[in-house]
Amino acid sequence: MFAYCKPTGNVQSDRVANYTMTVDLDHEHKTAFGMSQIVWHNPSPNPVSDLKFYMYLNAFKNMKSTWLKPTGGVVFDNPIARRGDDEWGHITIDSIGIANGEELTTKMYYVQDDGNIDDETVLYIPLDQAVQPGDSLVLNLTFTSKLPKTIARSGYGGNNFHLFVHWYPKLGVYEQDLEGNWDWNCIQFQQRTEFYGDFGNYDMTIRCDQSFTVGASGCMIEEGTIDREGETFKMTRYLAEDVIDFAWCVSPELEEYLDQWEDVDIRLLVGPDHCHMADRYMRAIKHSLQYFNDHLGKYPYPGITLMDPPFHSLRNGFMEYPTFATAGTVYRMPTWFRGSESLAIHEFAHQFFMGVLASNEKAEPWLDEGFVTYYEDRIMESLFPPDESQVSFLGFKYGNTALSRNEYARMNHEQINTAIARPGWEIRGDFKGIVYSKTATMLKTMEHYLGQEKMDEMMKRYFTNHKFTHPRRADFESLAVDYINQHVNAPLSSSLITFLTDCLDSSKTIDYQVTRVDGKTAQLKKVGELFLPVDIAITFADNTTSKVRWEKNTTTKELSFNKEIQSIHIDPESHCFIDLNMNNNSYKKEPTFFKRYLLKGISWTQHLFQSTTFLI
Amino acid sequence: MDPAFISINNILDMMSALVKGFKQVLIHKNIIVYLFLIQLIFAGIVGSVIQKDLQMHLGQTIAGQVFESDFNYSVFMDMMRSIPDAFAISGKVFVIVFVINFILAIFLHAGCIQTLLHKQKQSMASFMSSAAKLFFPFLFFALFFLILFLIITGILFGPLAANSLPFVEWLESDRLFFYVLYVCLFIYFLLLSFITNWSINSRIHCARSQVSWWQSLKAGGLQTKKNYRALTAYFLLFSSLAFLGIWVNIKLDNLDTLVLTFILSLLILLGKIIIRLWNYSTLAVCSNAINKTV
Ligand SMILES: [Zn+2]
Repeated sequence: MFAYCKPTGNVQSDRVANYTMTVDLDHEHKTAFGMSQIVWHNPSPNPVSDLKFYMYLNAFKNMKSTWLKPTGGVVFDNPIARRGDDEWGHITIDSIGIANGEELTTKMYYVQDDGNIDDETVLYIPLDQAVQPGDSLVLNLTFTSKLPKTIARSGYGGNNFHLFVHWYPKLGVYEQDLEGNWDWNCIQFQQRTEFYGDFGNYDMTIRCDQSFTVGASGCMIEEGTIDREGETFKMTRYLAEDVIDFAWCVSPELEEYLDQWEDVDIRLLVGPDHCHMADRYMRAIKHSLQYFNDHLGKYPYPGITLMDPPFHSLRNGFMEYPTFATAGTVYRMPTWFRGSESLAIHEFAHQFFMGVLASNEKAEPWLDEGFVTYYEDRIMESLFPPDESQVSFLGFKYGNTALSRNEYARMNHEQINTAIARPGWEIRGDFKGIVYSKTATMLKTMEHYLGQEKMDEMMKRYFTNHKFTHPRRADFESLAVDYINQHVNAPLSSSLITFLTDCLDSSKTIDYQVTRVDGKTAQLKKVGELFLPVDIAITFADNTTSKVRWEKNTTTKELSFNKEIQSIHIDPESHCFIDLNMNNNSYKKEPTFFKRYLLKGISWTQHLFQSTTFLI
Repeated sequence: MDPAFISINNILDMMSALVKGFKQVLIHKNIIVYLFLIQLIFAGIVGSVIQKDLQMHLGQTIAGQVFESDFNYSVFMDMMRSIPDAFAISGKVFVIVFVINFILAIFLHAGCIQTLLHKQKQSMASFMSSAAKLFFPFLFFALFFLILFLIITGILFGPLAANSLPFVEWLESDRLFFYVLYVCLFIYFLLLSFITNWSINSRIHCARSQVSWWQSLKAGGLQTKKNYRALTAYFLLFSSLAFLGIWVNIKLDNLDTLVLTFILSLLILLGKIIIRLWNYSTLAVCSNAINKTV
């Protein structure tokens, strides 16, 4: 009997790190007491004689942590520095040892790469006896996780809302670095970094107050009560297979909505204030499941939980965890604003980029946030009319891709480094503009040149080849280069490949411009060092048309004809979507009169005058 | 009218005041035209400057053609990024026209109120002389009530806006926050009703009795207090009609028929002007002001 979704039992990943945990939540003290058994398989050809654990909850222990120090005490506009002792969070391992073997509790200590000795987000444990290649290590540990009053995502909010993220002692990833050396990849928690973990199974038993609804990664495989010291507690057991992490929440307010898409169970947890959003969220998730199925790959898990926190705990929203995503909205969110759907789809899309294609989000954030934004935009524009997929109010409207392009174009490309392919901690300036919006706009531009069908085929190949692994830049880049070389004719193929590398490694831009039209001649210019070939459409005074191709990477182009030019348009179909300013791509002899704005300007100004003089 | 309750007789009285008030507006329908035309001229200036700005920046581009066929976010944002002061001229003209219109509206409404107190149609010359005579007292009223309006708005919504997030967190519910907002809006409605009626009554008193501004303000306040239930009912009626006009205008804005939408929008505006004048004359009937003026 499965309370919510049925684990498939299929082994889809290499299941390197597996956790069986039981936690007791003391909600009065915002603390979880956990027992954990970790089974870790050494995936390397070397004996491993140490362990590294993520202890990220310690980032919220005080202002001295590497994560909090640079914030100056303000996170998401929220002053957090002056708080009571009981409002900070921490995690400790109370005891740890190898099953039937070495006791490790006294040997562990925190390590820091950045020299900040007050940072306790990475724990190091040397082993007396190394774990041999292919062997397994079984660790038994007890730990205490005290949640902070929410600073960012993990924490407690009002009315006993708790979200447990980065909350348990979690092993780093033992892998080869770019030079081929095997070691633990387990970096300190720092700004603009989030998840990186090994695949495995999580068998999780949560015991908490009976009034709470529990939401979590995986399938709820058992639900009941447990009596302890004369008190009855709720007991739920979750099994999440082939995931890289496990997150969970409890709240007395959340209401449950269940639905299905094919064989995937969808569970919505929404507070009563936001129950009006349940249909909108459900529609968004079902549509996303279908869209990914058609254009990338099938969602490989038996269930997905989307949790919309109550508004008082909004700081816990807007994040992705394996098979568990959090959204956020406000009471009576108007239907003309689709930001809530867009964010829910964004967090859901992370199931593919971060969840299944488990790239290192810390070192290569573009591989998940950028790809996610690209798919978020596509999904939203297939769910709503493309030019109003985000907002449509009183004639003002915009769609997702236009928004992403604007977020990219508005950056100061001359002043900041906008190269995409960099670790999160190295990126200064507009992180969202660079990692999310530039990547999405770059991919959209590539889609325009390849055509959606080929783009989908390339991305499907990426998904199929690398699912349940940790793909890196080279994996995507080599696959894209191969695909483009096989399916696109020269010289476009080499332009596209250069374009991809230029976007990843440089701040290069492109802006096509019509600089002068003089009767039968036209002078065109390309500003910026990026290049993609474009068509040029010309209409003549006698209403005949012509098309010319800007094929070579030159900065200017002169055109002359034997007829008077009526209009000229560089890239009329906006293939080069990354063009910084598309308004200067054209010239038209007959000026537009703008009757629409004249008439609307008159009528709305009159209404405004009439309304604002109501007291006189 | 007894402020304590509204009886059937009161309702009949109110209905008859509305009918009398409307007939009074019909007698003086020429002032509707004055108000409408003046606003149209000012709005025309603003509209044409916006149009000129767009022509200057996008006129000879295909992006402009796209923007003209429907609002386009990319065209708009590319323009605002490449020409940050694209609407600098429109903005300045709008502010100037707004201020002139505001002052002129005081002048015109002074003429309107004085004219509406007469049972017979008034000439343009008499309209202008009344407006000129009452302009300064009415300017005083306008500024006084504007300040009052800002204070009320600030007190009711200022703290709510400044502390909205901590307040929602304290309430532990955004639904409750909205309920608090609805209560504030209801109180706001009652206060706005009071100051709007007070403003009209003071001006009617001033136009009729031509005593000092202060005396008219006091008399208007007393009159409003005395009749506050009926006057609130009138405010509800007239403001609902005005909001209905705005709502229809928004709905019309979505239509593709540009010229037809424009004409209908102007008709709605005409309706809103009639509603405003109807409000004045109904309150004048209520305060027995009509005909008592020489
Ligand atoms: Zn994201």
